[in-house]
Amino acid sequence: MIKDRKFFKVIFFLGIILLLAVVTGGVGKVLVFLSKGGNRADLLNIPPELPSEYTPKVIWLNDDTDTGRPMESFNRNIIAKDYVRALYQRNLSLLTAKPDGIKEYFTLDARPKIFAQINLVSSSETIIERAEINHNLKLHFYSADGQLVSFTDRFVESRERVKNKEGRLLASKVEYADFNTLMQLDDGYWRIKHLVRMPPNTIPDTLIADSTNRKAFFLEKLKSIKGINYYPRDTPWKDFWITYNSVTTQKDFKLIKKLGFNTIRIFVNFEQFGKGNVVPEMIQRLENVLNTATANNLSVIVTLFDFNSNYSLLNFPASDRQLETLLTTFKNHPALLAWDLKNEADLDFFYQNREEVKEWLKFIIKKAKKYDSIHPITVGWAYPENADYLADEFDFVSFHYYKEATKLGEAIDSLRIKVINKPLVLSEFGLSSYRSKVFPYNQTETQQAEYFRDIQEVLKQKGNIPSIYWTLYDFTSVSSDIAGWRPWQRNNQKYFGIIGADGSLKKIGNFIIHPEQIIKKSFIESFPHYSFLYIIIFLLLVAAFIKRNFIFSLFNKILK
Amino acid sequence: MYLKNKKYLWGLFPIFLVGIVIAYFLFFQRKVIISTSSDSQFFFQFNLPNSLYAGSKLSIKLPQHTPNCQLLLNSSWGTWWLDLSKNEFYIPDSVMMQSGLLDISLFYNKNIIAEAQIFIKPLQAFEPLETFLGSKSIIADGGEHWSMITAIPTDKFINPVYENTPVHFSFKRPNGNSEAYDIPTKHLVSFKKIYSQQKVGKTIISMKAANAAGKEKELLEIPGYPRPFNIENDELYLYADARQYFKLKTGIIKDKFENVVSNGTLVSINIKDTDGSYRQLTSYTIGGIARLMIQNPNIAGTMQISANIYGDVESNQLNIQFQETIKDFKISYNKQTEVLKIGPLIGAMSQYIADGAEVEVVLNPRQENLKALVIEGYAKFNLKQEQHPNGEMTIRFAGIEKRINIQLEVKDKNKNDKRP
Repeated sequence: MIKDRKFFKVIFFLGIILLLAVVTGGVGKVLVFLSKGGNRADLLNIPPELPSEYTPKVIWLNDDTDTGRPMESFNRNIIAKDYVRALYQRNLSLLTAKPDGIKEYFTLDARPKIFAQINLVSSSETIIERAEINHNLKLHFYSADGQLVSFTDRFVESRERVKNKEGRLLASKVEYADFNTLMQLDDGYWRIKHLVRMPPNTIPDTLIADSTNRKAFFLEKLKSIKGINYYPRDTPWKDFWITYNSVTTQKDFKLIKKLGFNTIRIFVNFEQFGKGNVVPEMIQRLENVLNTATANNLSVIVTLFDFNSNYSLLNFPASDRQLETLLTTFKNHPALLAWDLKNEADLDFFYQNREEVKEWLKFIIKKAKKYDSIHPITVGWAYPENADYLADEFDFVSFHYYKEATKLGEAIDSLRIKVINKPLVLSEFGLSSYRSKVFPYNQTETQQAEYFRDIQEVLKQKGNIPSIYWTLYDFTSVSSDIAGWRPWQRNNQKYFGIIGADGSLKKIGNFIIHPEQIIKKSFIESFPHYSFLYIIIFLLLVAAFIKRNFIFSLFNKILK
Repeated sequence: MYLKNKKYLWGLFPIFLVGIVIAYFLFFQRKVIISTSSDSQFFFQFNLPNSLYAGSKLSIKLPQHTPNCQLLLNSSWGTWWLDLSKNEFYIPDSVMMQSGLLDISLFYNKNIIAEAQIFIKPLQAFEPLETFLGSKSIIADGGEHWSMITAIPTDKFINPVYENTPVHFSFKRPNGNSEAYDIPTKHLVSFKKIYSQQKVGKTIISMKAANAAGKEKELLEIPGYPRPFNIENDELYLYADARQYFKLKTGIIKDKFENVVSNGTLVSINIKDTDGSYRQLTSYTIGGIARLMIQNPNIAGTMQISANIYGDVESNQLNIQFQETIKDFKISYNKQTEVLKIGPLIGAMSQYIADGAEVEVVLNPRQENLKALVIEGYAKFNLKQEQHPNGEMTIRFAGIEKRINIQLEVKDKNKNDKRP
């Protein structure tokens, strides 16, 4: 009986605590909801703004001579915005096969046509992805009362993907067409009234290809690079641009120069740079990096679209805009050596739909060549096995290598068979000097230095292939969204540096400065750190086994 | 002994788990290899017309024993995908109803094996013809202002009709003339600017494209800015009697093309009164004429009247001389009743001054004003009610001032009500 009462007491207390927790949490949620206030768009019944990632290029061509009434630039912008938004809504509705939102952007007589199209899609059990990349608008007519506007959207690049309900890609297509469009100001919004697809009339490109032979100069320069991948010590990856510090950059670049490197490879974060609408501050920061590099006589390979793994068509316009902004802004910067369009794109072959990634890559390559015809372009592949993909499109082939140094030669040889006439660059390699105290990871600084030496040896043998080491610093912290949640992987990422987290030069650094010196191996290094832990555990187990009678009696006493 | 009890085998379970974890990060490596797809193709060519009218039927026939193919359609309003399960297939009506370029792509194994482009032509214009007029009203200023009439002819599937489809515009102008134009559509619309003429009125507009008529539209041509105008008075009684009214009237106010201004045009009338004060009155035009009744002043003198529209367009100035309506009047005082009686007040034509005229008495020692109205020729002040004023008083009427001195008897305060 007494036991029962005790048992119920415990249950009762636990129950009360649980109840209190639930009630407090619930009341809190309600209070948060009540104090949050309404969404402005909901309250004022405003149609949602264009999302930041949907930013197709809009150009107004020269107006017709007689447009009825001259167009004001204020209304011109509103009309273009509403037109893009309307087509975006159409694409969204085709994607979801739902008619929601159509009535905000299409006039009464246009809606049945869109609805019919949506019905067809929903009956065919497929998903239609569609995006327009550019709009070249030529104004024909603007009514005197400012209520009607007629224009032609010329040479629209539309991309389409067809997927089944499971998301498997069935087909993809790029098409070019003109659209005769009539819009009406209705309820204060410009809505599409008529849309007629016409055969495309090409328009001359505004960007003229560079005819001078500057690309050859950069490719020549690429042969003699001695590079390093750069992130600051305390703010690697996603912290770099957000907490950018020009003083740190200056200090680090001086150090890089002192270590004898002449090139750095940096990474531009797609999302942090503002997707399609590139944030001006971020451009300034990138410019500061490039200027600092110029001051220290360093060349820079800029890697774009880092951490972007959205390959849906709706992200294409934003990719295009960011590419255009960055390439046209910096293509004349003296520090710039080459563009790496995407870091380790072949990893996304595994995680994403492979064909979508490939389509995106091809799209980006084509656009990059248009925006900057001077600088060489490439994609840094994660594995040399994949580096032959799209090799014809690139000016040089770039790959990463983190496996045994002895097998690098083989990898290069087999790559050379597939890629005959393009220069190769090893744009990432390195070894972590991570010595875990728990997990069976034991790579010493000596091994790291030896790895560097061996890789350099192989590269020299294979025809002086230029290389870029990963990385300058041992990082103080690596967030789990970079390297995964597993501690042995995360910690491993911290120790690839030439300079330790405390600022001291590691053995590899000594080797880089004095390559003639022999790398000495210390005696203690030959014992892995983790072995000490397991020896202690083993000794404790043995002791416990010997004294087992004593331990049992101790337990008995406690239980009684 | 321990091994016989199988429960103890569970002790091995954690070791097993640890083993799996170790094996996982030691041996598991992600490898990606790009495979090149090998595609077997077959050849097929569409045999389709270059163009069709909207709403026609279009079937796509594939040869017998064709492997499973798919169709991608790009039309004016969207994209559609279809798995071809049969050898003959009709393109849906809703797609065939959209005018414009229709792209048909045949897919097999993710590759396009055949493509065709068909231009779907719009049909003839269908009623009703949609028309838009803006602005709705313009000033008839001889062609300076203009409005625009726009027609968007569509066929029965609401597709914009062919380029260069003629649209017939006819206008009936306010001056009775008719105008007609045939304007072909260009970039989906056909439009005509309507320039103003000199006569005010309605322009009736009708439009027709092929056999499709549209609604009647009305363009209002309204009068423009007025020109300077005249004012005159009427029914004038020239005495400052503060009783009679006289009529003020503008001439017909017109714009520069002799169009009478719109009804309701606001006319401001500025008056400088005979006593030197200013006031502003307003009136609205009807048929181009604004009228206003103004009361005669109560003091003789000159009244100056002028009018303007929008503070800008001025009229002439009228000066009206008002004569005195009374030259003198009598004052009598009854000591018993303490009533001050003013009158008879006789006007210029030997008539009583109009009832309701105001006589003012100022009690000078107290600086107090009393007012009384004339009734049947007399104005009376009951001074008993006015706290028994004593001493000099000034009496004013129609610009005449008179002074009298009234001395009341000093009374005993205890015999308040029994005065002689």
